[in-house]
Amino acid sequence: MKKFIALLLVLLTLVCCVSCGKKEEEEENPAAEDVVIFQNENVRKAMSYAIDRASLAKSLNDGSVAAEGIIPFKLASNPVTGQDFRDEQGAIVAYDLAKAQEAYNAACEELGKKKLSINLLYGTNEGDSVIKAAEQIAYYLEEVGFEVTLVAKQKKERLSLMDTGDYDVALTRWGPDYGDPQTYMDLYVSYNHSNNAGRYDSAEYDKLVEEAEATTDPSERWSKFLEAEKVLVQKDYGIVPVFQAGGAMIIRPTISGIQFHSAAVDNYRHIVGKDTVTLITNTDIVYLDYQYATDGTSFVAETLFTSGLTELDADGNWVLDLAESYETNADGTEYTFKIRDDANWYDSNGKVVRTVTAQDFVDAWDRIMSEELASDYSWWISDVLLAKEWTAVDEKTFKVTLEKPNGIFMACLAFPSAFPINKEFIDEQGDQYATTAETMLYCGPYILKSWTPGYSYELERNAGYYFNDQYDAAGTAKKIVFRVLEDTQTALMEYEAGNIDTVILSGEQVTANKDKEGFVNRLQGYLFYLSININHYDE
Amino acid sequence: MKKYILQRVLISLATLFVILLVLFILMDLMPGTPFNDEKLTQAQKDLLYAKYGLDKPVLTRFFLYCKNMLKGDLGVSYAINKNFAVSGMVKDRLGISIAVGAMAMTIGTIAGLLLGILAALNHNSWIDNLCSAISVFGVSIPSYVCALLLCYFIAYRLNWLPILYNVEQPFISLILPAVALSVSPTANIARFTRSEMIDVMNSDYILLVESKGVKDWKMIIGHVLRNTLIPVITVMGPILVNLLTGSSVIEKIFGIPGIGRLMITAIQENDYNVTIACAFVYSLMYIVTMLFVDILYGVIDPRIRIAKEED
Repeated sequence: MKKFIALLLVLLTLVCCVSCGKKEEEEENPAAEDVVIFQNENVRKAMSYAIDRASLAKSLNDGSVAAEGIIPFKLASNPVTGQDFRDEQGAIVAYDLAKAQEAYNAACEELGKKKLSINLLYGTNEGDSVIKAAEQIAYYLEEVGFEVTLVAKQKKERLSLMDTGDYDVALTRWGPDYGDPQTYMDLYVSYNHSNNAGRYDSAEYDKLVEEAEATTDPSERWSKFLEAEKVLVQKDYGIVPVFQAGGAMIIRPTISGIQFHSAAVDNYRHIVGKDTVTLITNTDIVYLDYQYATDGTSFVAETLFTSGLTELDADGNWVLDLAESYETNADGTEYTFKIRDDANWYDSNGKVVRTVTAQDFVDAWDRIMSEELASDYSWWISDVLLAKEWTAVDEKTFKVTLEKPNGIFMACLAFPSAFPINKEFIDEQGDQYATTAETMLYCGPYILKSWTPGYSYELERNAGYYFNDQYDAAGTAKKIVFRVLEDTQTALMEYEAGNIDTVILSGEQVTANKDKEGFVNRLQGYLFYLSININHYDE
Repeated sequence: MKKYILQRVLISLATLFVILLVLFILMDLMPGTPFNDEKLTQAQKDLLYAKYGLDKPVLTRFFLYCKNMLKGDLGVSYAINKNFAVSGMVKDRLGISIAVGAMAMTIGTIAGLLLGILAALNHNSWIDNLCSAISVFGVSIPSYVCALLLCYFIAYRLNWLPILYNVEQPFISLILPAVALSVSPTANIARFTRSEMIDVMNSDYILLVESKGVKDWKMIIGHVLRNTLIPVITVMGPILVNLLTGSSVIEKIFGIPGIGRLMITAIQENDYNVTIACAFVYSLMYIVTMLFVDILYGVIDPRIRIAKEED
C-alpha cells in the first residue's frame, strides 16, 4: 500500500515538473522582445551585407558554395538561351562590411536604439554544416554591431516555432522539388502561410510571380522570375540567402555512372564497373509505396525498380522510358502517350504479371490525388504537372490535359509521384502492400529482392525490362546493395577494406580525404538562407 | 516464498502501468508534430491527424492504446517506416540487441569474475594493482572509443574479424561489438567481486573453514564464492538490462539494426508509437530482470529465503 502511494506521488511530481517546465519555455520565447525591428529595411540590409558567404562556404569543407541569390546553381535553364538562371542573374547579394555598417547605424538611428539584438534559431540535428554556419553567421552579424543569441533547437521544434512565428531570424533551407524557379518563388508570396514563415509581404513581388505563372510565353515567364528574385532579395532584403549545400563523397574509382541531380531524384540506374555494387546510405527507406514516400532515399530506390513515362539523363534532360512515343496538341495543353507494348509488371521473382496499361496511370494519378491516401505529394500532379484531366483512351494510350502549357511537364513525369500502379495488386494486398519486397510489383530495370529494415536492401536486374539488352551491353551492374550505415568512420574502414563502394564524408574526414582518389563534391539543391520574421507575430 | 514472489509480481505490474501512463503523457507534451516535413500544408496535416487519430483526447487514446497493447498490437509507425507494425519492428531489432547484449554479458561476467578473484586472492600485490588499473580504465573509457580502437586494429588492420555487422555471419560479426560493450561490465563486476571477496575472506567463518583443514580451492569455490556472489548479482541485474536493451552508440558504429538505434531515431522523428513501445520494452525487461534477480537471491542465500518466509 505504502509503495503504491509512493508510486503515485512520483507520478504526480513528474507530471507537475513537466507541465511547469513547458510553461517556462513558453515564457522565455526565442523571439526577442521587439521583433518589430525586422520591419526596418536597413536592419535586413545590414544582415545581408554582413555575411562573408564565400569564407563561410569554404569553411564548411564539404563542397558548399556561397549563395548568390535564392535560386541555387544548376536549378533551371533559360528556355531560349539555355543559360543557367543563376549565371544569367548573377550575384544579387554581396559581402560589404562598410555597407553593412552604414545600414546598421542608420537602422539604430531610425529605431532609436543603441544596439540591436537578434535571436538566431537553427537546428541541432540537421547536419554539422548547419551548426557551423549558424555560429559563423552570428560572428559576422556581431562584427557589424548586432547582439546575437544563438537558439539551438531540434529540427521538428525549429519548424514548429517558425510555423507559429515564434522566432526572430532562423537558418532554414529549401530543396527544389523540380527544375524550375517556381519551386522557390512560390514560397514567398504573401499568402503562402505554409512556407513564408517570416510573412514577407510585397504586392510587387506577388504580382510578378502571379504574372510569371499565368503567362504562356516561356521567355516572359523567365524574365518575370528574374525580376521577382531581384525584388525579393536585392531590393527588399526579404530573406538573406547564405549558401548552397554540397555533399562530399568517395566513390570507388572503378565504378561510374551515378547521376546526381540536385533538383530531382539521383539516378542510380546506370552504374557500370562492377557486377555487384555496394552503396552506402545513411537513412533507410521510409516507404516503398512511391505515392506515399517523401524522402530522397525512398525515391532513389523507387526510381530503380519502377519506371515512369520519362526518365532523366545525366544532363537532367528527359528521355522516354515507359512511353514509346507522344504527341501534343497545338498549344501544348494536351499530351497523348503511347505506352510500350513490351512494358510489363513483374513480381519479386521476375515473373510477368501482366502488361502495363494506360489505366495504370489513370489509377495512379487518381490514387495519389485521393483524400484517403492523404499523400504528401498529391500536389505534384495538380501544381507541378498542372494536370487537370487524365484518361485511358485505349489499353496503351494515355491522355493528359493540362491547365496551361507547362515547360517542365515532360521532365517532371520522371518523378516517382507520377509513376503508374497496378491497382488490382494493391487491392489484393490490402494493408500488406509495400511492406516487403514480395508485396510490391515492379516495372523498372531493377527488382527489389530483399529489404531488412535498418540494415540493407538489395536490388537485382530485371531481365524482362525492355532496355535490358542495352544495359547489358553497357556493362551495367547486375546487383545493387544499399547498406544503411550512419557512422562514417567505420564506413570509411569498410570502403578501404573493399566491402562497400561509396562513402559519405562529413566533418574532418572531408579535409582528411580531400586528395584521395574517388573524392567527389556534389552540389546539392538545398539553399540555406535566413528567414526573417518581418510580419509574423500577431496572428 | 510463494507469497513473496506473488507480491513482487503484482508490484511489477502496477509499476509497468504507471510507467506507460507517464510515457504517454510525456510524449503528448512534447512540441512539434510527427509530420514535420517543410512541404506540408495545414490542410494536409489536418487530414493526417484525423487519419491517425491524433486529434482525439489524450485519455481516450491512452485507453485505446492499452487495449491494443494487451492484444499484442503496438500500433503502427508514423515516421520511420510508415504503416509498419511496431511490434514487428521492435521484435526483429530486439532479437539482435539481446544477442549482442547476452554475448557482452557472458564475456563481461567471466572476465570480470576472473579479474576480481585474481585481484582478491593476490590482495595488495602487483597483480592486485594491475587488475585495479584495468578496472579503472574499463570504467573510464567510453564504449565508442573502445569500439573504434578494436575496429581499427583488429578488424581493419589485422583483418581477424569483420568490420561491420553482417547478417550472413551474425555470430562472428557480433564478436567485436560484444567485446567493446563488455569492457564496462567487466570493470564493474571485477571491482565488486574484488571488494566483496576480500571482505568475505577476512570474515570469521572463513577462518573457521580454513582451520578445519579444507583445501584452498575447495574453500574458495564452496564457501567464499557463494557468499561473494550475492552483492555481485545485485549489480549484474541492471548491467544486464543496459546491455540487452542495446547500446545505440555501438549499434551505430557497427551498423547493427538494433533497438537502441530504433529508439533514438523514434525520438528524433517524433514517432510516438515506436518510442513508447521501446521505452515500455526497456521497462519490462528491467522489471523482469530485477524480479529474476530477487528470486535468485532466495535460491543462493538461504538466509533471505527463510527471512522472507517468516515475513
